[in-house]
Amino acid sequence: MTPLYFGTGQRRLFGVLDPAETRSSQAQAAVICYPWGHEYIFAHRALRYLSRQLAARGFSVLRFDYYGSGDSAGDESETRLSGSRKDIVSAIQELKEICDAKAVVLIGLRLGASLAAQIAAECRKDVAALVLWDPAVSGPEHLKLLEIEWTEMAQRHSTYLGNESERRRGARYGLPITDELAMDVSAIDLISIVDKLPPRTLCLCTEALPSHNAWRAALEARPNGPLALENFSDIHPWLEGNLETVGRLPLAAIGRITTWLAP
Amino acid sequence: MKAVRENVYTVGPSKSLVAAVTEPVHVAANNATPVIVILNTGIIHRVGHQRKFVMLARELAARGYSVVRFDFSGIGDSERRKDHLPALEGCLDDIRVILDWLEVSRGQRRAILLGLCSGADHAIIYAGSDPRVVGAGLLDPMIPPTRRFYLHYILHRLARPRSWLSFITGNGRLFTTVRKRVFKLKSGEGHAGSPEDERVRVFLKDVYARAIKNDVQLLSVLTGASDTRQSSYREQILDAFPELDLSPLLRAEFFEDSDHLFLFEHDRKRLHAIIIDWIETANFREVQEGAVDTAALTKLVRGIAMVGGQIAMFGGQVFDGQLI
Repeated sequence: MTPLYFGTGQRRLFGVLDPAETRSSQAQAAVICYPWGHEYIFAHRALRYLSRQLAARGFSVLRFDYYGSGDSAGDESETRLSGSRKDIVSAIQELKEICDAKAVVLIGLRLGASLAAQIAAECRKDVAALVLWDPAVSGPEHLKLLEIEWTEMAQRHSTYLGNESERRRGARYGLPITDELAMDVSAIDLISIVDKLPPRTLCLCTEALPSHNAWRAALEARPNGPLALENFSDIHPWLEGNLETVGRLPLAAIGRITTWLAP
Repeated sequence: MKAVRENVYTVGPSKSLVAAVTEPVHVAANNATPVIVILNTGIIHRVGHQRKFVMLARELAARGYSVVRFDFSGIGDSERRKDHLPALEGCLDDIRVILDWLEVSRGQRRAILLGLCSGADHAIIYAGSDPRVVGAGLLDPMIPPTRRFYLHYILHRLARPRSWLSFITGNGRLFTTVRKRVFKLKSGEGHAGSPEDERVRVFLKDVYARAIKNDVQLLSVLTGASDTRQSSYREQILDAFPELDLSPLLRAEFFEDSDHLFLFEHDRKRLHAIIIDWIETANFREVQEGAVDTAALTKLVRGIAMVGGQIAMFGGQVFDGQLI
């Protein structure tokens, strides 16, 4: 495990590299794209575990904090998804240089999966495969989910939910969310880019959502080869655990990803 | 405001602890301010809920302080310990390792420990054993209930229509709960390892007594709108330990409308302002000679670990066998 900074002076990003524990003839590399906001905080533990599992199977893995999140520079209010996509591209470049790889696997969870899909849909030659773990398929749907999750969390912890002016300022998502960022998220539409996803794409869903019927149909109807949407049960690592689930890991989802990438 | 810089280090004999340091760009050679060390909240990594500790560290660094946020072994990005120490002892040893590193590599011989929830508990338990600790900022630490707390609790429940509805419908949870709580208080029992357990209160009393003996300045911030409802007034920390004279060293604050995690931005802003004011105005003592009293600390925590329950979870690393 090697913590590091990369990016530019104006956009300094924090990441952790888990180097491959075994060597293969061709360097294998993966970039993990975190979710946003409170989902990032809770998912950190699971994604770190995924990273270690992949490193044990011969992948060099870089997971990193977007600008304005975690240990990276910037304020949350500066977050724009165009910037977060640039951060992913920086992370791809950094990892390729570190481990001398020609291409990487992009693995994303929730909003991170949607951003990874958008990058992969640019038909980059250096994205060898894509893993979408419970992605935000529809931006407006995702914003609603974030608000519900935050409200449930606040209700669980507090007898006070804040007044309307605080909610308007963005407390409804737990972190300040600007109008611009809300517009960015609203614009997410994974169905519209289904045809541009790499042929080697794994779509995993542990939470059934209304958007999934249309997404599944679009994945199966791809002219350049159908993709399957895999549904199964597991805990949701992006949510705060209760006394029974706190600290538990989504071993089924992590196991599926690792065996799909390194059978 | 000063410009700040941030770097991350791997610390300890096997470089297994990940520590992020936020500090002013220009640190004066004669800088004598204590370093602030922020501890994990449960199993949440060093960033903290709502990224609150990153923003607090940057605010403090802009005022000239160095701040370290690190992950305990097995939490966040830090590696697991390989010595199989019990979780609580491992966390306390990790604090020692970080303070050793700060002293040896950065010349920092005075530290203020700061933590929320379990982080506050780790801070106060460790504070009495190391002469380098001059302050402990305790955000919603474990605190025993008092008679005044129970009175508030009863009044709070009486004011809720739902409580009366339960009473009328025969559930009577209000009075069952109160009866149980009062009975436990009188008998000195309670859920094993919970704040209601008299053995826990005695342990915490000893912990605070050690901090007083070590002349550690204390900041206590309690919240009143938490799901846990373990505190209901500012002076509860004083009333919980009537045997101790905490007043000369203690600044006590109470956030009546805040939840345990300070989830709302206005609560975090107020919290940060209070922490900064305390750090800038408290009378932190000068450097003391002496070594870390590891033996006494170990004896203390091994005694309470036998009680089990909530108090044994202070380490927060073992859940359902999925230790990572």
